[in-house]
Amino acid sequence: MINLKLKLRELFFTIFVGFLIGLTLYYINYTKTTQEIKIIPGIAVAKEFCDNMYYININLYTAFELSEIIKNSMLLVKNYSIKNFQGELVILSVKSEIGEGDIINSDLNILKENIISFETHKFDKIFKGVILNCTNNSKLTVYKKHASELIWVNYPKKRYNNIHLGLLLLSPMIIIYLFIISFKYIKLSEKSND
Amino acid sequence: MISKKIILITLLVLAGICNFLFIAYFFYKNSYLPAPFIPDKNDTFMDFFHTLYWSQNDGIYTEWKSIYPPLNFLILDFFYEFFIGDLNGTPFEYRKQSLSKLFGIGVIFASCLLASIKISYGKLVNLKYQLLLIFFFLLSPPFLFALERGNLLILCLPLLSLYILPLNNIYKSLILSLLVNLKPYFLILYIVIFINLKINNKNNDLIILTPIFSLIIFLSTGLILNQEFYLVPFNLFDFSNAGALSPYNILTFPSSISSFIFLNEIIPDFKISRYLGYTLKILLFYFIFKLIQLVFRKKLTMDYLTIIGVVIITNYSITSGGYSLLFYIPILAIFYKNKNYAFLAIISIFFLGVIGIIPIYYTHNAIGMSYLSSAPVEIVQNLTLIAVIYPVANFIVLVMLYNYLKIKVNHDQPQAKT
Repeated sequence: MINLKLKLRELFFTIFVGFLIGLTLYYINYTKTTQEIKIIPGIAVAKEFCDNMYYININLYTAFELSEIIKNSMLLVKNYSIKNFQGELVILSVKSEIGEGDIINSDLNILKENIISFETHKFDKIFKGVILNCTNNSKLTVYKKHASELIWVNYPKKRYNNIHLGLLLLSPMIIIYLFIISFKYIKLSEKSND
Repeated sequence: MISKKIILITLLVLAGICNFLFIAYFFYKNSYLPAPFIPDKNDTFMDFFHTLYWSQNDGIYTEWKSIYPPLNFLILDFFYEFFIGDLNGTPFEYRKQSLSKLFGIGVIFASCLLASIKISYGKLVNLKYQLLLIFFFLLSPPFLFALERGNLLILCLPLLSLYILPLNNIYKSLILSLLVNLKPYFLILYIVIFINLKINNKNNDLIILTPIFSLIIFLSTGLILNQEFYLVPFNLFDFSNAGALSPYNILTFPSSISSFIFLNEIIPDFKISRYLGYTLKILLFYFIFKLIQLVFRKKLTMDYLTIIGVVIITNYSITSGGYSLLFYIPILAIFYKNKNYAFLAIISIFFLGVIGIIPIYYTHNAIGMSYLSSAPVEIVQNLTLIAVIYPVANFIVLVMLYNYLKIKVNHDQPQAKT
């Protein structure tokens, strides 16, 4: 049978080293925050109003292009991801440390300018001057419905909840404990096989 | 004189080549892969790229609600850092940017299969047979299907082959812990040994060390990944309740007769299919129960306990589907070693290429994008012989195994005379 008990010095080692690693992990992650930013992307539209039918209704950038724009705009905050890119709503997740609100804001201002200039450039290059000939002989132009809008949804919130932080604190102790008991068991098992 | 064995394996390889040539010809003519490849032709390699995408993003367990333990994402993180490089955007854009790396990913997957064959058959057959076996399995429908999906299950193959080797129980526990941390359904292998413990105390070390090693791997990989890994059990429960796959996806490449429950949704006129499906499911559970009862009562070798585990995994789960039949590759080596030729014959059906090219039921036409030809195509959706043959053959393996073990164990352990 496996011996689940620890000797005093093993117990001390487990608590001391495990707690130290756990506390470090806890502290590093406690200060991490996340902020969601919603963007309503600019859209190119060609629509027949009488039949209420869309011929073109397309975002002015793809998720890949947005990633490239973000990469060139986020000068100070390096940790970001696109959480949603569907239809008329894009959600970005920006990760940072507590107290970095100003840094995020300055990066987001650059991001907004870069997105709008990308949209304008793409619209001028691809859609401006395009005229669609429809079956009922009407001619439709493509227009930009609106430019991208950035919406600050909420203040940065803590990235990890208390269960996660608690696990970070306790897991190293559990891992060390499991290591010690398995090591002792293997040694005992090898001895009995000899 | 050419031996019968080599003629047989060569014929099987030729069947695989026929299957592969048919797939290539079909793709040339129609610009998409035929059934039994997944119906959504724009989803090629996406099992790999969805997982890869999430390995680089937050929300694995909260938003994507993944059922993969953290070890999978760390392996993919390693791939990302050392083989794939900087990618942006959605999982589909990850795939678009990795075009030049797809061949490399295919080579890694094929290497896992080669390693598994080398480990399992290295000492059983000579190099000539090993090469034929490599061709046979590489061209088989389960491998091509898993490759097309880019499913990480292939990574389990060399580990399962190692697990079957006569190693020290400490190594075995480590390998089993890795398997459980890659695919949680490998817990069934542990449960089977646990049930047999009362009769067979040779596996004491394995019983004690596997949960400890599994927990150490789960916690350490979870800490390194630093995401909400403790949600894995809850996500697993949700996944089993939610019915994650469509009936058509399940029936395209099934391994369990439970999937026949969904026949009614594909063939509405075949009203009896639902009742037939439930009857077969009850029958399936009956034989799984009888097999477990046998494990509880009789002393079985580690080889047979592993076979029982794999047979239960492939027969029970409808979501793991056709991929899981790849686990029979190391199992075939045990049957070959023990000269169980009836099992060899029936399990070989799973890898027989030509079965996949015979359509048996046309369902509908659909228009969709084909990733491999980068064009919209009209897709003829149908079920092939695989949809019937594989689950039925797998169920026969289950029944045969039960009967074989019942007789063998009674023969090996005669009752004491009173």
